[in-house]
Amino acid sequence: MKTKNLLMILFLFSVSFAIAQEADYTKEPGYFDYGKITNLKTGEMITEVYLEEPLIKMVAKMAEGEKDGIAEAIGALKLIRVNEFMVDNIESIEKALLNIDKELQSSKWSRIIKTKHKDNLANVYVKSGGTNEYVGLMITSLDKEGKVTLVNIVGNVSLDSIGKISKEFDLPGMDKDKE
Amino acid sequence: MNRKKSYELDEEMIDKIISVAYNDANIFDRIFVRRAAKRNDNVKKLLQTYRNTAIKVHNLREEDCPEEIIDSLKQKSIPLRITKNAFGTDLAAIVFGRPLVSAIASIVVIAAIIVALFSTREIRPVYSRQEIEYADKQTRQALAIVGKIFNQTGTTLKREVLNDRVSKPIKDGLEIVNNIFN
Repeated sequence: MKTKNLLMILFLFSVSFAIAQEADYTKEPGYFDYGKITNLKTGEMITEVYLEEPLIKMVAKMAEGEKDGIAEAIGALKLIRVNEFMVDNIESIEKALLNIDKELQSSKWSRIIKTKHKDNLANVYVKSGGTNEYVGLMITSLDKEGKVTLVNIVGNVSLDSIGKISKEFDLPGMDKDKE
Repeated sequence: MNRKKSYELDEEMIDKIISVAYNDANIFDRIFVRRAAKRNDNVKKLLQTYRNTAIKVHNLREEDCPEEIIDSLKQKSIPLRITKNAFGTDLAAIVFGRPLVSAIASIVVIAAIIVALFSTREIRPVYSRQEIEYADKQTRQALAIVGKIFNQTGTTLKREVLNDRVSKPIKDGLEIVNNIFN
């Protein structure tokens, strides 16, 4: 009987340990939950990307043959989330983005870019993880047609590398790409 | 096909009978010897004889060693054998001498190995070629979106801020200064 109980405890312990091994990105300092904004979606979802670390590492391996630094920069990332969708009520989304701006800045995110040009607005935030390194990148953007873009990149984010890679990956006709 | 067992009293059989008589045999040997004793009189007699002996042996009591023998041993100064690692041998005796303790110890060791493996190795999911290619496309798409926003903000910074709000006022200011001095 004692042996049975002991085996049961060991089994439960092993199962709970295995579950605990699954990565929880929400606890990462560079993670930001922008679910409040995506809930305001009224139109179609244009882009939805959710890539976790193991898959990003595989992508980084694929990029090893490409230009210097691309594979390393991608490999240092833990999570890539992108949501692009349309909204009807631009005023409500502007208010929501303003609230997000306050929330981000109150939780130690630094706003490095704030632009408002005609009806387009875009904010870029970074989360500092220590000396000269960022552990998170957050982008919020809204254009005059009501297209909302939300990006959250978790991991060791090098703005220089991300900028270079972004130029490399500048896909032609991306606005029309509705996948 | 039924095969009649002969239950020959060979060395192996005698060892089994002795073990059963002294209650040292495992469950299979006990069943085997008891069945043999029922079917073979020689086995039955031998088992009974050894049982009687075992009972007598178990009934033996400890007796004090006579003083003269102890004295003679001291005089001969026979070195006493002391096990150095008494704790180790005691522990080994507890672990391997009792099946339940041995089983629990084995489980604990196995659990420790499993925990060590889980804690040191990352669980790496296996992805298909298509999944990786799709992820690669999504990564490029995500980074392209980032690049597009960076470019937009950069353009706004150049055109709206540097050109209209910085360069133009400076230029206007310099023109005014030039007009004053000219």
